[in-house]
Order: sequence, then structure tokens, then C-alpha cells
Amino acid sequence: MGPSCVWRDAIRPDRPLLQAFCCTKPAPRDKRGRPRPHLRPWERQVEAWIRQLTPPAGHRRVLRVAGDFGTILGVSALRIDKVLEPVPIVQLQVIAIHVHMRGTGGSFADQMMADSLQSALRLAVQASKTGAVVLAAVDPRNAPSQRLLRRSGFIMRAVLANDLQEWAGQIP
Amino acid sequence: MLACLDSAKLSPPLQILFPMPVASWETVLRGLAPGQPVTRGRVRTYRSHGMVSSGVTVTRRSTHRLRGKGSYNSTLWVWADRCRTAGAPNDASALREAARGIESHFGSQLASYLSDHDLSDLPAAPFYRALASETAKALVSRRCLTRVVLAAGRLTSLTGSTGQLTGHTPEGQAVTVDLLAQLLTRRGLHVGACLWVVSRLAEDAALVEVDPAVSVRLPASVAKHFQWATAPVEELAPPPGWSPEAETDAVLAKQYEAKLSSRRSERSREDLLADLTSGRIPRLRLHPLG
Repeated sequence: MGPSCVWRDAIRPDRPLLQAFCCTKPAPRDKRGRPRPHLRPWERQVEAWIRQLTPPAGHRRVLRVAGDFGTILGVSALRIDKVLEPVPIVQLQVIAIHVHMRGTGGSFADQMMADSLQSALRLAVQASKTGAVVLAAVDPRNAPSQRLLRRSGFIMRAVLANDLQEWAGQIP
Repeated sequence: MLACLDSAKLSPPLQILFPMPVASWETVLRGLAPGQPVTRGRVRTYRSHGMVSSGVTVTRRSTHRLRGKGSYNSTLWVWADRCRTAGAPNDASALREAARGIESHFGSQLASYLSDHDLSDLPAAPFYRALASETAKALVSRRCLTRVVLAAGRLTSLTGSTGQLTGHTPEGQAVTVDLLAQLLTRRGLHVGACLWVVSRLAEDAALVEVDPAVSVRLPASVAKHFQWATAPVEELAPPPGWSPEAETDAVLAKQYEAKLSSRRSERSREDLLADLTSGRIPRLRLHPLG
């Protein structure tokens, strides 16, 4: 990444930028201009969820953004899910990159994952632990996210009741 | 796998489904050497054998900086290889020649457009129609086309292990084709996507490939040769219970929040602990950002 892209915790003034965040293409329209079902509903849900976030993140949560001259290019959100002795679980809630940052062969997403794992470690340390299990739930149709997790060393360990795939890894 | 529905005569359309005329070198190499690893060494070998050119090199730009380089080729190189394996070497040579011509003619426009657009945005480029038209012209009158193309149409369902394409064969027969869901998912194709299905024989095995297609309006003189490549006229029915109001940010955000907060069952907690203690969950490498 160039020096202009800064990874940081989201702050209150980022809210309007988050509300305008765009990580998927708009839904198609029919011949009369009426909206049709979105082609990638899993991306649309994530986009909608990000748009209603109000930074800063709360207790035991982290909301990271990658900024570039007044635009948010990437968002990641994590939280301590549930303490499972002897290690805590960090849930990777979201990793989303702006549509303008696509087509980089995954390099930007890799940077984002690296930053998210550092944040997960920070959360684990805050919970007075030395390490954590990082879990991510992924839609089975979301191939780019599955590739990202695989590249980062995660394994798919289970299919959840809501058909989402559960990917897991340990830190440090 | 293939079901003929009827052989009703089609009326000549102008708007046809046509595969993307340009692809990244990785996609082209996958078409030239299916099942083989995609490596720069392999593409260099194919280039030295004249089976693909060095293509159009694009320097990708972000808002304020460079983001790297990419190489794109005409998909006619893949069609040439398909014709070669179908026993039509003359067609293959003609298609390779056409591919070189197209890359040379549209090279600067492609380099300029793709420097700040994704390849999937190419259909919106001002020169896309001309590019697709030239590519289509090269494919017209290639007899091997009917041998390698199984059908063109739209993906109408994707459930379980199969997806169903509804469309037409090059002979104009309406068909439904069952395709492996894994293949479709790997190519990023979902219900509603348009595609061409291509098949070829590799010894005793059949190789089925899917080429994502987009609807493009071509000159009538070219389009009449592809009148079979049309999407079903009727629009896909939205899923049950779907309405535009259900797609608002507030509703979708709530749905996602519900997914995130679904409670873990006691059994899955135990499974997770078991995986953890047995070392089945790998340790991740932490890379400092630099």
C-alpha cells in the first residue's frame, strides 16, 4: 500500500464515510427501471450492515478502516464472541473492501487480513489472554473470501446451521 | 444432462449473448491448458509456441497511484485451441490471426480503459460493441464452432450439486443443460448469469467449460449468425417472498446481525474445544503491516 492509505481504528467522524461505503455493485434493474434481486446478496447484506455502524466500536470490539483522502477503502470488524476456556474466541464479523479496490489480485485484502489479525491479537490481550481462536462465517457462494481465508492459513472446520461455512485459525 | 425441448425456429435478434472477448492471461491459460497449473513459465512456453501472444499490458491505476500491471488477451486464442483440438487446424490458424489483429487494433483502448476499470466493467466501455463485433465476426463461418459449443443461455437454477442452464444449441434447439454446481460456483456464476457451455473430448473423457457471457447488441449482419445465443425472453422470477422493500439497508443489516449473533450450540462448542485441543485448528502467521 502507498503511504496515503492509513489503517486505523474508526472514529466518530468516519460515520458519514461508512454510510457511503460501497463493497458491491448495485442490484440490476429491469426494463422499467425497477430493482431486481441482487446478484450477490451476501455482499449486499455486509454493505448494509457496515452502513449502519456507528464508530467507535464498543467494549470488546474493534472496527478498523483503511482510509485514503476522505474515502474508506476497507472495513474490518471483530469482537470477542464468547470466552471458551482456555482461549477466547474472536469473531471476524466483516472484512469488506471498496469496489474501487478490486482487481488487485487479493493484495489489498491480504493487507486487510494482516491488520485484522493484529487487531484480533489486541482484543485477546485485552481479555487478559495470550492467544485466541479466530472464527469467520462465510457464505458458501463467496469464493473470494474463501480464497482469502485459505491464503491466510484458516481452515474450514464446519458448516453452521444457517449454511454458512465456519473458518477457524489460532493466534498467535 | 442435455434435454431438448423443441426446435422452434428462432427469429433473428440483434441482442445476443456473447462471451467476454477479452480475458486475463490466467483465464486464457486455463482455457489453453485445462487442469494444468497456471504459471508464468507455462504461459511463456505457450507464447514461444505461438499459441498465445503477449497480449495487451495494462498498468493499473488507483485514484492517486499505480497498483501494478496486468496482461490481457483476446479470448479468440482459446477458441483457436478449441478448434485445433476439434480437428480444424485451418480454423485455428485463422482465429489466431484474428486474435492478433484484435489485440493490435483495440490494444491502446483496452490499456487505457482497464487501467482504471475492472475487467468485469468492460461491457460498459464505449468500444465494447466494436470489440465484441470484431470477435464475433472472426467466429462466424467457423464450422468447428457448432462442434465445440454445446449451448448458450441463462442459468435458471442452482441447487444442490447441479445448476440448470436454459438456452439454445447452435442448431437452434431449445435445451436445458445440467451443469456441476461446483464448476459454476468456481467461475462466480449464479442464478441469472448468462453463459456459453463449451465441450471437448480429452481421450475418453469429456471436458465441459463454461464461458461467462454478456448481452450485447451487434450489427444485424453479425448477429444473424448467433441468433441461437439468446437468453430466455421471460425474466427470472424473484425468489419467494422477495420484494424491493426487503432489500433496504435497514432490513439487510438486521438480517446480517442475526447471522452474526446466532448462538453456538453446546455441541458445537464441544467440537470446537476438541478441535482446539487436538491441534486441528492451525496457527496463523501474523504479518506486521509495512
